[in-house]
Amino acid sequence: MNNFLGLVKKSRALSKEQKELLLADPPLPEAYQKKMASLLESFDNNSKAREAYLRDKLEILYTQFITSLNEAGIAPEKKKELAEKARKQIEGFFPKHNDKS
Amino acid sequence: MAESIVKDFKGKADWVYVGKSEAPKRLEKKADTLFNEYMQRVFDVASPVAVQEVQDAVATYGGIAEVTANELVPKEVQEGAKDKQTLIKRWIDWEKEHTNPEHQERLGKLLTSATYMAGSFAANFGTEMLANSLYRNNKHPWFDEKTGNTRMLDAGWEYLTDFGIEKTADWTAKKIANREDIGFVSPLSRMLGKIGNTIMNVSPNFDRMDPWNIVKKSAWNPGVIEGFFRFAGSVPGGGFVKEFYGKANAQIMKGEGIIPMGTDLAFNMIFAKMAVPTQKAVPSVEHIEFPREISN
Repeated sequence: MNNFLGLVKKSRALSKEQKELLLADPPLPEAYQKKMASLLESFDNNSKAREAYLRDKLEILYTQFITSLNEAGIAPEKKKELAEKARKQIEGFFPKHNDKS
Repeated sequence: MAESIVKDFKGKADWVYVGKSEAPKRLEKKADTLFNEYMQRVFDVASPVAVQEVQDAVATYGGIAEVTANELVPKEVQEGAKDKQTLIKRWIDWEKEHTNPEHQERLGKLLTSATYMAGSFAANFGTEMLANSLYRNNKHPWFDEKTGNTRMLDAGWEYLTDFGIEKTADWTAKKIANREDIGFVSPLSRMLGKIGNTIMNVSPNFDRMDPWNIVKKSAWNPGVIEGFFRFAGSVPGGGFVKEFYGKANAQIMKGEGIIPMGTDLAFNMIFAKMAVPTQKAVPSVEHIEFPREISN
């Protein structure tokens, strides 16, 4: 039961409204909770793996980009501006999941 | 030290080549180009992952909907919904769930072709019965066997009824498949139907009132022949029939190969046989009696 509630709370697949519905009383049947937990857990694991893979790849690209700016002799102000822009773009790919708790 | 000299020299070269005010602009442009290239690489890496995420989410929502329907919707409601479905739909659903798709397709082909065979046979048998009552039993002298009129009518009747059966089969196939560009009867079946009819029409000993011959005539029409080919091609191990059927139809449509040639040959031979009574009617040279005075 606690496992199901925890999975619902931090689920990446469900919207806020869907979570509220699932967390509302009365408690849902155990068979339903078990099947739902399996689905939510599977999606979350896959999503986390995808995110980790993408972060690695984007970090490599970011490093290459900064190196190319250095090699081209770009002025420090411009370099800083572009580096911040690139960092923001990367973070934009990852929606803020409430699964950290 | 050496590095600073090189940088110093490079700066001077830029100044000399493009002018002092152009050098920073060129570098700014270069920085934007590098940023655009970087963004393109980011997109190439991120877009497949994003697509995968959406696909996975859709599959998960599908699973959630199914689990919710099965586990949270009361059994009585589910049973009630099932009762409202027609028996045929429930049977089809059961079939889909419990049988191999390949076997389903084969079974569908066998049932369809068998239905066409049975339907075409029954329709042709009906038209034979109609011919019996319309003119074959007529005692009027015009219908006398010696005049050949009944045979002529039979040939025409056979042609028309086979044509009607062929067109009906094509029409039903169009309606069932809801497509206007398809038909049921192929050129091969049409051709075989015509050859068979011609043989039956010209055979002098073919008794058209014999019940067994009526069955033979009913079984020999484009609908039954086509149904047979399709049935035999769908039976396990009937691949060679399908192969022959496809190649023969291709030859007929192109007008080249052994099948069109064989058809011409068959018709030539049939007409030669049909012409025998006419040839016999011409007296041979030995039997011509010449006037006496000329012979002397």
